[in-house]
Amino acid sequence: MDKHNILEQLKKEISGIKGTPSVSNVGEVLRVGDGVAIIRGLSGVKSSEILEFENANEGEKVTGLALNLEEDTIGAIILGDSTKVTEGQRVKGTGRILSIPVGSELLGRVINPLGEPIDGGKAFDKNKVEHYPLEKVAPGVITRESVKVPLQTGIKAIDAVIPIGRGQRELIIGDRQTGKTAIVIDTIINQKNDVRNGTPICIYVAIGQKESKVAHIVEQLKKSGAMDYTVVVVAGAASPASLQYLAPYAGCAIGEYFMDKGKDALVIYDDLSKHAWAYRQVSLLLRRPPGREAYPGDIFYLHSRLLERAARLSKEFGGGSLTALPIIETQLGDISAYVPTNVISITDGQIYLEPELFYQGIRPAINVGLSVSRVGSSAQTKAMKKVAGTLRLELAQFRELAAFAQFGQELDQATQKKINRGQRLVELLKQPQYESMPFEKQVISLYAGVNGYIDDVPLASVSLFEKKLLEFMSERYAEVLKELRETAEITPKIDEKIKAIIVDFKKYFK
Amino acid sequence: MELVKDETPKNLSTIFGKFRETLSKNGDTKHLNDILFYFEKYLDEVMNVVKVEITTATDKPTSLPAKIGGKTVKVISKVDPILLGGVQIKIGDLLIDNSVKGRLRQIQEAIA
Repeated sequence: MDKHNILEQLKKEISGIKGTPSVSNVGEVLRVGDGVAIIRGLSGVKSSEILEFENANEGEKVTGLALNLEEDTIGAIILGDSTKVTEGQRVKGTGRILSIPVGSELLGRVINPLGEPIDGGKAFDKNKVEHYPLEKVAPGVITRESVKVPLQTGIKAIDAVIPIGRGQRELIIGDRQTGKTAIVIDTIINQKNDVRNGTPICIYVAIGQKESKVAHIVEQLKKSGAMDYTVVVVAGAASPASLQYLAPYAGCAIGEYFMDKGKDALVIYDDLSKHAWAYRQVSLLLRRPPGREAYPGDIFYLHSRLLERAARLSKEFGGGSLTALPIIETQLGDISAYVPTNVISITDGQIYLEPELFYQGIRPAINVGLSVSRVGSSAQTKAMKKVAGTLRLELAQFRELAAFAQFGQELDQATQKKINRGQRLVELLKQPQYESMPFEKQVISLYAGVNGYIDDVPLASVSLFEKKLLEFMSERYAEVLKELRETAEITPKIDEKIKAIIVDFKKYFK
Repeated sequence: MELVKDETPKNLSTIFGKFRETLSKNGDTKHLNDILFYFEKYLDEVMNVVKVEITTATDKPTSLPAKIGGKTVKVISKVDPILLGGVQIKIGDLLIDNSVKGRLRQIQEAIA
């Protein structure tokens, strides 16, 4: 193509564009600082409208979000480089509200809360993505259905005792360094194993996290092949508070797109404590009155409107779902602080992680007593329901008696037996990171536990017993596992088979 | 406005002097800019004046109606070569952009 042709082409392209005088609403920056701008003028601006800061040197565009509409001024947060905004600069209203590109194009990508790729890959094809608003009203009562399809985390302690359903909101709460992120990463990785209900699209939202930690997580997801169905939204610790505040809504909007398409989606907010901090910063800088712990008055609504967007839609409305797993980091185990209590009351249950358990070597360090799932066993397969019912009871009895465990021989037979069983079940629920277990294997190992087949196995060998049993099964009796996976039920026939296999295995295991 | 309408220039300066004293006594001198801004706004309203800011790329005289909708037009014309051509008209918070620069940006957005 010579330069004549190029010129012709350009002329043709440009002639198609109708240039009309643009009419816009303008104002000027009165004050700017800390990522917040106070603007005078802009009389017709609407709440949460996108503003454009006109740049003198026509570099990258800096946008803002109008949050406070006051009598004479407007308080806006700056999305992007706030050093490019200067006093007296002209600000234009765009008439648009904040939206994010959504679509299958996003799978496997790492983006910022404005929908721009930050993984070094190419920009999204405009024709292949749709735009969804960041803020959207949650689905209403008529469109919803009760949660009944399980979301398999691949973690025995959760799938058996605190089952999570698709469309549920389950909080993961605990101190720093107790394995909160490990649980959700394992959950994402395990989703590809869910052959019965299909793999949900996963969205991991990192809010105020160290970039190195996020890079490590993305690396792990890639290595395990989970990145194919995952989108990572990052507003790192170095991002402005405005972006950290928007990140969960961006993640939610992406999830909603897949839900509207009739698919299942899982969105993880890691973590909402830092989100609350970011919002507190923005609110204080905008001079909104502080309340308890200096959080603004609408801190509850901030999280409730976000988590309410998780839903299970009924068949008539496409049958999609959006599951939310928010994470809250507590300070020194204080779950009665302001933000933790708020989020606990919004969600359908919580998984409580304790540092004491973590240091005792019980990992995942889930406190089974304090953790609940308000959806309960309706989000479990029949097979799991059968073993989990007994498991929950045995663990509860064990907790009551655990204090007596140290008296050892002085206890009566029945009590000793219960303590013995409980200790082995606790041992059985331990599970290392990145070793998620498909549900049929979980059922087998818990079956062996609750039916007393491991009572005579030494405590230290329980995990070895479990490992060998499952290896033995998948080598010699793969068809039983397959049958269990397909029917998801322990029929009397399968029951007989499993019993026979375990008895057979115990002959080998010494 | 109402208060100083009939005063002589000599009296005016004493009035403003007193106003300044009151401001500094109350520590409100930092608001002087705002006071000026709102006073001008108020003045325009009372005088039935509409301010029109016209920016062109090259200095060129523009003939304009002296009145729009019964309001006196006060033209502030500016020259800004960055516009390249055409005109930008600003009335209050409303900006009508018909400059070459604005058109170029429209083309840029359409192509990108």
